[in-house]
Amino acid sequence: MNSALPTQVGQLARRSVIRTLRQPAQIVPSLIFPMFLLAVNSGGLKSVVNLPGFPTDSYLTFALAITFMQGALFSVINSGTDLARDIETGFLNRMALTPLRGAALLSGLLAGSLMLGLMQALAYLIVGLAFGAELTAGVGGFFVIIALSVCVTVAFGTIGLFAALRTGSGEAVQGLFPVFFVFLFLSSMSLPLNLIQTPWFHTVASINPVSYLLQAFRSLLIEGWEPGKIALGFGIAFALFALGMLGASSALKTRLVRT
Amino acid sequence: MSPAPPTTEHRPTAGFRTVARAVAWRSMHNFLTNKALLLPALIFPLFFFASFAGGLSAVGNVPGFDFPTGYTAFQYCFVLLQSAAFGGVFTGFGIARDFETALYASL
Repeated sequence: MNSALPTQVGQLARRSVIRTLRQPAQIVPSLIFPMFLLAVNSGGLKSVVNLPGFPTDSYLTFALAITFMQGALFSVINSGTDLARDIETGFLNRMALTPLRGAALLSGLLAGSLMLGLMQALAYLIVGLAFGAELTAGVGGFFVIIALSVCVTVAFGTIGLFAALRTGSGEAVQGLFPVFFVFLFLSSMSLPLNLIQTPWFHTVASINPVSYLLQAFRSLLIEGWEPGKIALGFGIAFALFALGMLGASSALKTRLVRT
Repeated sequence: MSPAPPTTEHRPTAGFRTVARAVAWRSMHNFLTNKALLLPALIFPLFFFASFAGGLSAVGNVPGFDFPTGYTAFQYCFVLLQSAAFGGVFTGFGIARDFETALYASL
């Protein structure tokens, strides 16, 4: 095996992408479930737009941002489960016998998350726009939303890698799914921060980074170009990515025991 | 020569109420002593209650929302239903486990 890092990353990325594409059980729920919730939420809460101060007259536009975050949460499970399976089947141990670099392994494994994130973002955005959601930032905003969604999905994917390397169990990774949903529910998911009236919830949502990721998506959908909010969204995604990779690299050192 | 095994006709049978009471007690005991069944069934509805009642409290101000006791009470009805559903689901898990461990076959 060529020890050059790009070659290693390329081989593992190709494997990760093919494996993701061959598993409809990973792709279909991550596409259908968020869109189903979008339909339910936008139908059930559409009268919320009558609240004074609500930023748009279309709850579908407001709720469309949630789908990107839900898709990213699926990325935690998908990337983590794939890696946990590699650990359980001994693939990782076999890799330990090769000159494979840890960075190549982690980067390659994230290729599946990246591709899935791209598919999800395109699907959510196209379906949302087809059903009447607004995109105030225009064509440029379309591409920025796709880029942000992919960044967030990959960032969450690193958390899945970390969990898989720490536990080595697919079931343990899947058990994290409700935990991550807590972060989504305790955010400005359903209403903007300024309209959350319950003090404790407002405080929790204000310190929850998911609120600011949602805000970045919503700024492009509802307000147009708000550089500060967009930069904050990308910044949080990169910070999550850095933390996740740091944790995963550390866990990999103990997991990838070379003989 | 060993005696022939008792046939179904000669096997002593317990009364309907006795069996139902014993199985009911066992189900309740399992549910209340198994944290994996009890905690999610309690925590998930409470979490949803906290997040929906807290995050969507402004819905009570939407024109046309006329639930007399407010949005929290409105949401509480949903949580009661949800907790009943969770109770059913987790009781099902316990019954499935009994089938897996062949409890009902041995009964």
